[in-house]
Order: sequence, then structure tokens, then C-alpha cells
Amino acid sequence: MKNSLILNTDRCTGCTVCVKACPTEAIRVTRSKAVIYNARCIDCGRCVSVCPHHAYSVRSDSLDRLEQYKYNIVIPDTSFYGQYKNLYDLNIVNEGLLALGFDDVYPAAIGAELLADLWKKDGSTIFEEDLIRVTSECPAVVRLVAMEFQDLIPNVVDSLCAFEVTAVLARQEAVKKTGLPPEEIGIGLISPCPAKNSRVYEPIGLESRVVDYALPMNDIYIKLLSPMKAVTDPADRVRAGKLGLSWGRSGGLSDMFPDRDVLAVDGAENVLRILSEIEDEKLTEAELVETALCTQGCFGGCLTVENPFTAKLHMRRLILGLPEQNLEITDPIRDRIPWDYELEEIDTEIADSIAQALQLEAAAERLYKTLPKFDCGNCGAPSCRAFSRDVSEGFAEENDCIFNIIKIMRNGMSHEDEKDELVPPPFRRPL
Amino acid sequence: MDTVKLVYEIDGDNFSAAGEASTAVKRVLKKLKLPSAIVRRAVICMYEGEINMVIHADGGRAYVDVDEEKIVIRLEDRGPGIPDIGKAMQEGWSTASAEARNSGFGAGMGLPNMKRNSDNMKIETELGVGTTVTMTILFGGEAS
Repeated sequence: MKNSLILNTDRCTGCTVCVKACPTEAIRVTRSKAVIYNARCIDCGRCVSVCPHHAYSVRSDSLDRLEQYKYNIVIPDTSFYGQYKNLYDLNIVNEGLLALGFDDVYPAAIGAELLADLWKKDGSTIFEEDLIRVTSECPAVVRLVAMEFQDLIPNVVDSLCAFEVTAVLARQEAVKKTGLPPEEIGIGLISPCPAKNSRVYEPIGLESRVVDYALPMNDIYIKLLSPMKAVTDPADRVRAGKLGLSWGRSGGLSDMFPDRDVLAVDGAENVLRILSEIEDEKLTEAELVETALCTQGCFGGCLTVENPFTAKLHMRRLILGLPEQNLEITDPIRDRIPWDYELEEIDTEIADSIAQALQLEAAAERLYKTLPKFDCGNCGAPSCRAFSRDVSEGFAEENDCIFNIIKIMRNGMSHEDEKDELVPPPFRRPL
Repeated sequence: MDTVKLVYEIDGDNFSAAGEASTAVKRVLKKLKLPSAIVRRAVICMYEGEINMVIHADGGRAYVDVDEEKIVIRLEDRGPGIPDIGKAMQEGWSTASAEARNSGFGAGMGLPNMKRNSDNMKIETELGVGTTVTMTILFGGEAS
């Protein structure tokens, strides 16, 4: 699978900030530039957020794509509405989007509310006895499970993302309304993160793409500022109620099951920890774990503008007067939407036998023992442990470690004082 | 044949750090292409043993050796020793302190769980000297 992160090498200084921040250790710095190892990348966008030089960008489309279609529908991710200050009506955003050239707006909250209704009405569509389910709304978490927690693949709720459900429905309704063939209808997602972009470009469990283009949220945010000012009397295009609109934040999904043992986990470190606990059967009390790789869920995506906590506050205010639930899943909708997918595991290990794996790991352990365990990152790897693996797999050399170079320098000197002069203070003899 | 050899110091009386060594073992085992059931059993053995050392023996040392056929986990402590191994192996039997119980440990399932998840478990213990528990998990084995 291709990921959606693009490094602008002119801007990259090789500083290793992204290397350290990457939750799956997918980045190394070599020859002064960062390199992303696609196979290990889950598209979470942490690197985009932390890069001090703004060297990363996200594979996405521009509004020019609208020209390719006779009729365009935009799907604002639920987190989009939380980006604007002093907004009192969600429909001002929707009306503004029409002014940008779209023919209709279908908020992702529509799909969210339909999924929520399906699960509420029939618990067996999401809960399973003796199995802790893990939600699949965050594509980065889904990819993480496929890559690092393969045992948990059966735990992942096998549903489409809310925006995909919305897109399927929107296209069907647009075909009926306009009489156009489906391929002349363009559907775009206003996306908060590279993981959703990748999901647009390469869906899982669908035969073909259901969303035609992905628009970066921060870009559309700015383009919408002035058209929004001109909106006077917006029509209602939200369609969903509080239930669907609460999905942008962490906890929004699990809150709909007040009487079940459900918990919401957000942020890469926390998600890694909870998945590990489920895998070790240490977490036994939960029935469903809502997961989002970004802090505060999609409000924390790297393409958002507002800080996630303030965005959550905006959203709270915006949904105040709305009904609890507006949409219900009906049989025709249920039949028309493909719900299930099979998640396949992603193998990132180099070894293809236990013997070879043991050999690589034994070599890595031997080297690791000799390393300083400062995790300084000067070798371009995120930690001494990752570096020792890189060496055993042949991607790096022992003397890529600056401490090993210092050892060689010390050994070349005859007097201890001389040795001390050559090396930085941490490596001089203790007094 | 290559053997991966791991050694961990287990801190005594630190309930919040308990489990760190088994997490580290798991991270390594997951890279070794082993069947996931094997990894899970080894991690349970290691975790229960680690907790035992924290609760009863003021810590100790864990040695984990992995080769192409088996995982051997050896847990050595200089604790009080086990006076009655028969009783200690009974489910629900525990001599854990009130403090340990308050932290959710001491349910008396540690040793039984270790036995159940390993193909072979050997306990060598001497009162006042310490205990060594050696567990073997065979890749071709059939532990329940």
C-alpha cells in the first residue's frame, strides 16, 4: 500500500524530530534527510504535526478536481465543523461549501449516525461475546492492528468508515436526483489526516473507490472563510443529529452505549498500550474499545487548524439545539450499503523463518548490550534498540553510532587526558 | 543454532513497574516469527512469574532463552522460599500481603497459570535462601 505522506527534501534538515515522534518507528534519517519506510507507516501524520520545518505534506487533491465531474458532492469530516471560531450554525459551513462550487453537501455525520443506529438497534452487529471489539473508524488504528497486532484482527469491528457509508449513500441519491451516471458524480472528502486520505485512495473491503478525491482540511478551511461571511439564510444540509455529529471526538462513539462496558482511548501511545493489553488478555473488563490514533480523535488530525480541545468546545456549542438523533437505518439503506470487510495482516518482518529471525534478533541483542542506550538519535534511528535491529538487518552499520566512533577515537590515543580532550563531556572519565 | 538470550532485573515492591520485563520480552518474541499462541503463553508465564517475584521475593532476575525449539524462562529470587509447594500450586491459595491484594494481585492464580501455560515447570526452593522457577515452552509442545 502506498501511504499519503510526502517529504519535501529541500525543507528537511535531517533533525530527527519526526524519527523520534513516529509511533511505529517508520522513519530514519540518512544523508541528512528523513526517509519513510512505507511498510511500517500507518499514515497517522505525527511527522507532519511535529516537523519544525514543515517538510512533510499530505498526498491530496485540490478543488480543480471539481471540473472533472458534472455534479460534485462534498463530505465534510465531522471534525471540520469544530475548526471555526464564532460559528453558531453548522449550515453556514455547508452553504459556504456550495459557494465553492459543490452541488451538495453530505456531512460524514450522516454515515456515522446510520452506523450508530445499526449498532444500537442490533448489538450483535458490533458486540461479540468473549471478544473485546476495537472500533475501525480510525484508519490509522486499523493499519496498526494489521501490522503489529495481527492477533487482534478478529477484534476489529468490520465496518466501513462513516465517510465511506456517507459516500455510498450520497452517490446513490445523486444518481436518482440528477439522472447522471455514477461516474459523472464526483465525491470529495474534507479530510483531517493522511490516514483518511489513504483510505480514500485505497479503500479496504470495497471493490472500488467510493470517494473520488481527498481535500486537505486546512486548505478548505481558509478557502471557506470569505464565502461563509456572505451566507445569509442557509438551508439545512446537516441531516444528522447529535448522535452522528459526536463522532469527531474521542468518546463520541462509545458514549452511545451508556449501559455497556465501553472505553475510549486516544493518542498513539495510549492506543499502543491498550492494544497490547488486549493482546495479553490483561484487559478483561471491556466489551468495546473506541480507538483514535490522534489525541482527542479526529480533532487532533495533522490537517486540522484549531487545537483539538478548542475544536471540541466549538462542536459542543454547535450541536446544542440539535435533536439527539435524526436518521434511522432502514432496510433499503442497509441492503444498499456494503458493511463488512476482511482485514488482511501486513507482514513487516524481514526474516522468513524462526531460525533467521533468531539470528537477526540475537545479533541485535548482542549489539544492543554495547550501545549507550541514550536513544540520542544521532545514528538516524529513533532508539538504540531500533538501531541494533537496523544493523542486524543490514540497513545500518555499527559505526553509524556516534558512540562507537568515539570509542575508536579514544582507542587511538595513548594518554587518558588526550582521550578526554577529544570527546564530548559525557564521555570523559569521571573525576 | 542461534539463541536469543535476555536478562531482566525485576524490582521488588514496585507494583507500578511490575510487568515491565514481560512487556520487554513480548516485544522481542513478537519479532521471532513464533506462533502467536506460543508468544501469548510465554508472556503469561513471564508476567505471572514477574508479579510473584515482586509480591513475595523483593524482586529478582529473569533469564529468557529462545532457540528454534523452545523458550526457557528462568526466574531467580532470593526471597523467603516456598514452604509448601503443594499448597502454593493450588488455585486460590495465596500468601500475598494486604498491600499486594489491594493492588489487585494475590488472587492465588500465579503458579497455576504458569504451570498451565508451560510445557514443563520446575520449582527449586529453599527456605530463607530463595526460589528458582524454570519454565519451558516447546514450539512443538501441547500444553493445555
